[in-house]
Amino acid sequence: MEKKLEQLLLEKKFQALTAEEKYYVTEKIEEAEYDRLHLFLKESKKSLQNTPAINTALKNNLLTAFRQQHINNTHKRQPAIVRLMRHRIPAWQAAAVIALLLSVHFWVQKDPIIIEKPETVYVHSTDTIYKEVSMPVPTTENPATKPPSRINVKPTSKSSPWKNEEAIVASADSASLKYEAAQVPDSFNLMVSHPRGKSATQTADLWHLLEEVY
Amino acid sequence: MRRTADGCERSFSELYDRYGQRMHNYFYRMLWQDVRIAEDFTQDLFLKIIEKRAYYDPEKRFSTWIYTVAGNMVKNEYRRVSRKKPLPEMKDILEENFSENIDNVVFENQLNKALDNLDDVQKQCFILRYQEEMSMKEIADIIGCPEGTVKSRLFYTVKKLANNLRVFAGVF
Repeated sequence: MEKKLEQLLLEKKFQALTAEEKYYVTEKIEEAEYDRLHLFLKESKKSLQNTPAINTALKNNLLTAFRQQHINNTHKRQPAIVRLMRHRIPAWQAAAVIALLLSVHFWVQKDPIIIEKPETVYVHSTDTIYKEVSMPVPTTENPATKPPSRINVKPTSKSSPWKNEEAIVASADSASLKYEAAQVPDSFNLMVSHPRGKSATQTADLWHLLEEVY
Repeated sequence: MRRTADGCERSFSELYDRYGQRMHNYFYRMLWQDVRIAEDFTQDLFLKIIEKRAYYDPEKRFSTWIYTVAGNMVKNEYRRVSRKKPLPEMKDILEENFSENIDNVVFENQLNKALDNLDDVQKQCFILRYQEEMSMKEIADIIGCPEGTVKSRLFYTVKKLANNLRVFAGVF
């Protein structure tokens, strides 16, 4: 039953309705039925209000029961953990807490926190030791014993140093290859720069000599 | 109700003052207009409130909750009493009691009998609406059905009752 129709039924007879209300009512029910329902509802509401009064002793009984129950509850007070476990919360709150915990868990796994700690690191390094040694120098100009001439790349005086650039680079590459091809001890490679002014072969000879001396 | 749940006797007393008579009326009308049964059920209802006060959901309206509990008690009683009290046919009642001197008392008796002949849910809707004066929304919450269903049920019930009691129409 629509609220408006019900309100009209409870308040007015059909004849007391306005034209607009009559139009509204007749769309739903006929005039005769409206009057019948109106009278019925009016009398029913009146009759339904006639109810016997409640027994006054009932309240006293209930209050006594309430007191007794309260005393029992005080004696049987449950431990806090049991009360906590029995505490009821809405389902959406439980779901929200689980979702929050999961999101925090995944967030922590994605971006681990890096804590930087200062730490002392000991680097083991060995310096190269040079020692001056006196050695005999051959006096004769024997070509067999003469050490090979030092590889040196110099631009010729005839041409400009920048015009023959490709030739210079090629010479430098070949010199480098020759130097690498020379048989030198491994430790020699550790040196930052080889002794200047001597070829690789000379240096190797010098190295062998040093080994013999020591 | 929260205070009652915490053991406050004064709040329980207040609760009883507000709802005691109303629940008594409800039980009286729903359970065959028997005062003794109505009192027993009212007492049982408030004892339930005392014992099960922890189960009250504060997010719900107390009136809705108490009428829902009362409605369940009535349903259980209907179930327990496999057959409702035998009621004479409506036609017989009307023929037997109808007279030119009919008054409201007679109408009330006939109305009560007509109500007892109704389906339980129809009866509950009618009483909650026109005796307890509850809104459609509250009735829907108590019965546990959509508001539209309550409206249509009420309209059907009113028409049915008015039709059954049409013999009084000329006397009102």
